[in-house]
Amino acid sequence: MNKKEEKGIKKIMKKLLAIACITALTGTMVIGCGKAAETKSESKKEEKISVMLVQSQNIDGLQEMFAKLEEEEGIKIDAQVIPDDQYVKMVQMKKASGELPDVVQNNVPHIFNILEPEKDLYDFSDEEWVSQLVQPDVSQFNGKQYAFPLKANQGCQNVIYNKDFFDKNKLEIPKTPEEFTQLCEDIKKLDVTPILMASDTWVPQMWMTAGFARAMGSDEASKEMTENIFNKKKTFADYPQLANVIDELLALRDKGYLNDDIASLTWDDAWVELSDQSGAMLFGEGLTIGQNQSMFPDTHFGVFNLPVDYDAQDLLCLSKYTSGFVVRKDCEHIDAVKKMFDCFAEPEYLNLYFASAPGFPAFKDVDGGAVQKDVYELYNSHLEDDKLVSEMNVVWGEVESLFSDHLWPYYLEALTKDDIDGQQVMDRFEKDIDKFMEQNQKEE
Amino acid sequence: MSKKAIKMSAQHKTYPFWLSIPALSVYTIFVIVPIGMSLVLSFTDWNIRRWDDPKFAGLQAFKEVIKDPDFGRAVFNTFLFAVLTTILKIGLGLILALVLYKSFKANSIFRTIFYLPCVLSMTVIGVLFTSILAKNGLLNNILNLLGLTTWQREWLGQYTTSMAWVIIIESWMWAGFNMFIFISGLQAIPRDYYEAASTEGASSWKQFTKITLPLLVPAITVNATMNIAGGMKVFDIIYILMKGGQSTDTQVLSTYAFKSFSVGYLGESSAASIILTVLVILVSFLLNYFFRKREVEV
Repeated sequence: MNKKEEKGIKKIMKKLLAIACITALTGTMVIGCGKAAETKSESKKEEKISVMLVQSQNIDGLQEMFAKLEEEEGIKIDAQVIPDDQYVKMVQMKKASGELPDVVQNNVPHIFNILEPEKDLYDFSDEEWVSQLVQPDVSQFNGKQYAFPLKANQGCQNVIYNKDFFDKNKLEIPKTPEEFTQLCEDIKKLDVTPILMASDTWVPQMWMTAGFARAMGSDEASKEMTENIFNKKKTFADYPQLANVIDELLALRDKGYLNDDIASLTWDDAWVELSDQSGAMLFGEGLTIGQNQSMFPDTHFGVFNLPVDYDAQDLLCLSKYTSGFVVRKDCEHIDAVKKMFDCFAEPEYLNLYFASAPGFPAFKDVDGGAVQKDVYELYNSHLEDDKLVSEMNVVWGEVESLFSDHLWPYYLEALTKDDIDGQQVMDRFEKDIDKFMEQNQKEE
Repeated sequence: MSKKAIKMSAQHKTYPFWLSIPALSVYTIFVIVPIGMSLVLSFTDWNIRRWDDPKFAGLQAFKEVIKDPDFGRAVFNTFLFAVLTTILKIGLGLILALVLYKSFKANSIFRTIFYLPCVLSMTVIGVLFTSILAKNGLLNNILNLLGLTTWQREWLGQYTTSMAWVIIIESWMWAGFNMFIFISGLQAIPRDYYEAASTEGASSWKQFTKITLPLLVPAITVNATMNIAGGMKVFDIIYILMKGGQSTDTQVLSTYAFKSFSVGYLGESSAASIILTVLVILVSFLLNYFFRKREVEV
């Protein structure tokens, strides 16, 4: 074989090798796609529902329900767990790009501010389980059932305190604002932080959210104020009681009743400090005691309604929302979803949800677990006296997108800086609302 | 020249072009196209609630962004962060390189140790320093042990200390990377220069300022350009250590754009991103130009 022939053979070999590589690569792709298609066609046989879950909302309980559903009904749940701080953005993006999963979990009715019920969501009003709801209004929109709720509501916003610390130091539950101030003073003298406030922006906001609702005095007054502000008929300056709520909290800070590391203390660490008695009280939802008790089994926690000057009626602020599911209007697996909800409305399923996180179930006959006695009594006594008001976040739902990136950081800034007062916070938020409304008007 | 030779020569010339096609495609799809789209969308009123219907709005989005006082703060913080981290990274990197470029025992171990922070995940760094700088964290406990209780602070809770710590952490992370570039620069300087200088009686300092530093300018150019561009694009360390720059005090341009995006003002978010891109390109070019003029041939 001469050199020329050798070169020619080498050239042919190179070409053959290249063809082989291309064939192999193409083959792999085709086989890969084929497998995907095969899996797809297989999955058609078994029902598979895609679900988006919120990381903090009792995933363990839900996973148990999903496992039981798969075992008994053959319905498989393809769950995607999203961290809380990214959840709303993710839903908005998925909605905008037409990639919403079959089922979306979130706080209801807050989700109705992100997804338009009549346009985007399936109406379950005709389902049997609707008649079994304890508090249907929480999960309905214009009288229609666009969500499947897991809880009746999220409980109340109140002071959570360390009972052991109070008992040890013979401290009494305050009934008036003066008694509360005295209590904080007594605790401070013991070299313990009276009130723990965490840096997670949703923590300080609870004080304002509950305070605003109580300061307005009723849900009707809150709604009227909201309409006036959103329609630019009035400004927040016309409702000085709102700024006063913030100013009263700032006054507590100035007296040294709040922790001095608000900007960096996390909510979880605040619970640790409450348990180890570095702090005596924190403000939050009473039902969170159930979730945290397992971490601090030796600590006894209690609750009381915060006595404040701006609410002479002693109203209790209800977190009028629930963790629940909504379903895409054009969901391809609607029969499977309906079957899933039929199952979840049954005690044998929903009991699993409350086994590790006691609460108020959305459905009759479901065992909500051992809700802490104090929480239950506080809620019931105010319910009987008709002294419940809805948190302001629900009333301001239309501008919900502004909360976590605007309003809540403003609260935190007011608490961590010395030169911001309540009215400045409200004025700043009003500018955001005006801009947001302007953008929405363009849409119309 | 024969026809075959001409063909071969043409093939040789186009050969690099064909090879660069995959890289160019990826770069175009993931960099050029998004920047182009951002540029177009920044001139619209695009909103997440009008996803399919962005309307041309001229410079409205830019005006909205620029008149926002938080934006001014974000620009200031971005420049502060970029300039200080660039100086610190180059300074620390150069010191480390001068110490470690000569061969001695355990030399490679030290180089690895100093390089290690830049391969750590930002989340790990965030968790680590959040614990160190917490009120009851390691740093305050050490200060307490040393009797320096008046020095104890809520390090990540105040603007000055939190910005200072973010700058320090970023510089600590990337000083090792700068060190390696300086080491390559130092290794390229011929030994003859130093020998001649020693014979002439030049001191070590004189040798450093008259030989090392001028010949290291190309390495400084590379480091400075990369550091300033990286510093201006900062996002992760602010997002993790300062909870997304949740206070308007500690926001930088990237977190500002991200927040606009979160509220759904996509046009404004695009405008903020374009401003950031233009600033990064402009500053990088100016810096590059400044140092290139000072480069000396070996």
